[in-house]
Amino acid sequence: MKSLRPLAAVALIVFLYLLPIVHIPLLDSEDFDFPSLLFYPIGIFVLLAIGLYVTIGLAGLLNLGHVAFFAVGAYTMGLCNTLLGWPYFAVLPLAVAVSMVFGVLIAAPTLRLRGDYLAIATLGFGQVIQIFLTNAPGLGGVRGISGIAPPTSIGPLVFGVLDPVPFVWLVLTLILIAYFIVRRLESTHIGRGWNAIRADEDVAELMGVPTYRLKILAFAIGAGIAGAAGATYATKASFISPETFDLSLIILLIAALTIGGTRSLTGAIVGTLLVAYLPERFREFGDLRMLLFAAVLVLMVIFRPQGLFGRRLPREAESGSEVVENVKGEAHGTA
Amino acid sequence: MAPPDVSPVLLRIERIGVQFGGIVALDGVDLDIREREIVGVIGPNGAGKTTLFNVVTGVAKPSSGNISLLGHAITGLRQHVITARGIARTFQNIRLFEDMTVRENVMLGADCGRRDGSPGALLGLSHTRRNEAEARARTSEMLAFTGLTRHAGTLARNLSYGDQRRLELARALATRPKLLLIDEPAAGFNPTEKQELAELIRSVRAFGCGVLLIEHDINIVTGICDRIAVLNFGRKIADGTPCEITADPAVIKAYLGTPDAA
Repeated sequence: MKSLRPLAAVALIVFLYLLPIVHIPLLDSEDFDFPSLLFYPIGIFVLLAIGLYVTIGLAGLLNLGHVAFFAVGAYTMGLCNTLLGWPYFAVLPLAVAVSMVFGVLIAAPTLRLRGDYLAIATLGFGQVIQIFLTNAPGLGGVRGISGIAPPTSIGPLVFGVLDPVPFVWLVLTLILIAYFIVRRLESTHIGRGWNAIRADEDVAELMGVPTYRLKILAFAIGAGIAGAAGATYATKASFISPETFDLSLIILLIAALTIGGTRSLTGAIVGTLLVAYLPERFREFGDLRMLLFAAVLVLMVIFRPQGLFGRRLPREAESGSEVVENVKGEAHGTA
Repeated sequence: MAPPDVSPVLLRIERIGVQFGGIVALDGVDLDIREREIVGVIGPNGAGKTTLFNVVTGVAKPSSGNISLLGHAITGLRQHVITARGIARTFQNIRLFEDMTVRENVMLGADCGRRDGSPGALLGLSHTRRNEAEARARTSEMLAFTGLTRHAGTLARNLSYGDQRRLELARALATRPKLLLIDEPAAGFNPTEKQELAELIRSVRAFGCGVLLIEHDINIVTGICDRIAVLNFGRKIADGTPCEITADPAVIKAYLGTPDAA
């Protein structure tokens, strides 16, 4: 079994890269251009969700300001490109770095708060950034920044306005890099430290986990990934405005994580795929689809609160040996 | 059995005072623990025993006094730094990471004091790989020592009560402590379990660490401790060998009250 896993991973990656160029009957629809959809919302949302998974899923920090880091990345790209003429691939590392700096700046004071208080503080930060982008001079106000250039071509790969496929490959590559980074950290003492912080921060600290530093690291990594998503979104859309970074986006992302299971990276990704794709696919149902979406969410919370891929939630396991057996079975299922 | 008095002082608690609002939890407590020594702390409920643990581990801030480990002051250091310096503890009310496996719980302790950060983890650098391997080896060793090896893959919440107490001990020992603080380990144990636990605590000395033990069961305390300190109302009222303590009139008074008060 073990020896098949790398093979399966390679097959999956090849399949993902082929996805925008092969026509798959059921996935496609006349209502939309499937490759475009794969870039936004699907690809960008998945990238954002991976970042959010680090703070919420791993370190257990309810970070509602995630979209602000997305905005910081996008505006870094927008400004550097339109004002300085820097190409995407030069700005990308900068956008990641700037977002990480913002992550640390926000985390340093707010991480002394816990739970609900942290959620409110980060939510406030998200709002402040949006209002700042609307009102600060030089950022274009509500009209935002337009005319952001696509990336320069890499050999035969031309990032044009008409063909979304290279952009899909670009965001897919970033997703794979982010996935690798998060998986890697998860499997070492950093990941164990995050798990411990989520479970019981006081005990984690007493067992030698540098809780404050690890929480900042979680914020910085989450913010950096969101920054990459922002820069990539900006270069494709060529136009960004404060409206793009609305509060509804964070709610959607958290819904996605809840559906997939906040405590599993696979779950976070699958949940986001569903949340990003299904409403588009069922566009023919009009507003009814949002109602269905809400119903699914409520049912999930009632019947499978740990999400599709999550470990069973702690509270439930206490009653009855049957449930306990379940937990044992699932304990390693997420790996 | 008891280490000679000439062995160097491991932990020195000097005139420690702790106040919560107007309540004096500890009042000028002095206590020395020598290397590899097992020192018991007893006293009636509310005497300040757990506060003493909290102040040594950095959870509670002392309003006066100093604490030093092997001659280096540790007062006011952050908790994880104190743990990394060599003081580990278990909890009176068991506080395991319940949704982690037994092995993961102990691994977390074994990670204590690691200096390799995220870049090492990310790039799989050699010192991170070496540290991970060391942590795994340390974990296996501690699991074997506490007899938990066969439960390594079990979630901590699914362990029996006794095994959870053992896991607390394994996790704390995994941090490579020089001093282990054990808070009421025998609570809720039957006599056989208490005996096994006493043996386990005694054998902790093999790892070269000293022990500060809070325990209400006087048989355990007198059975395994080299020295016993008695707290009452935040003050140390006696400090000596088990024989001295059990004969001390002040201790008897604290526990049983004076004849005319009864």
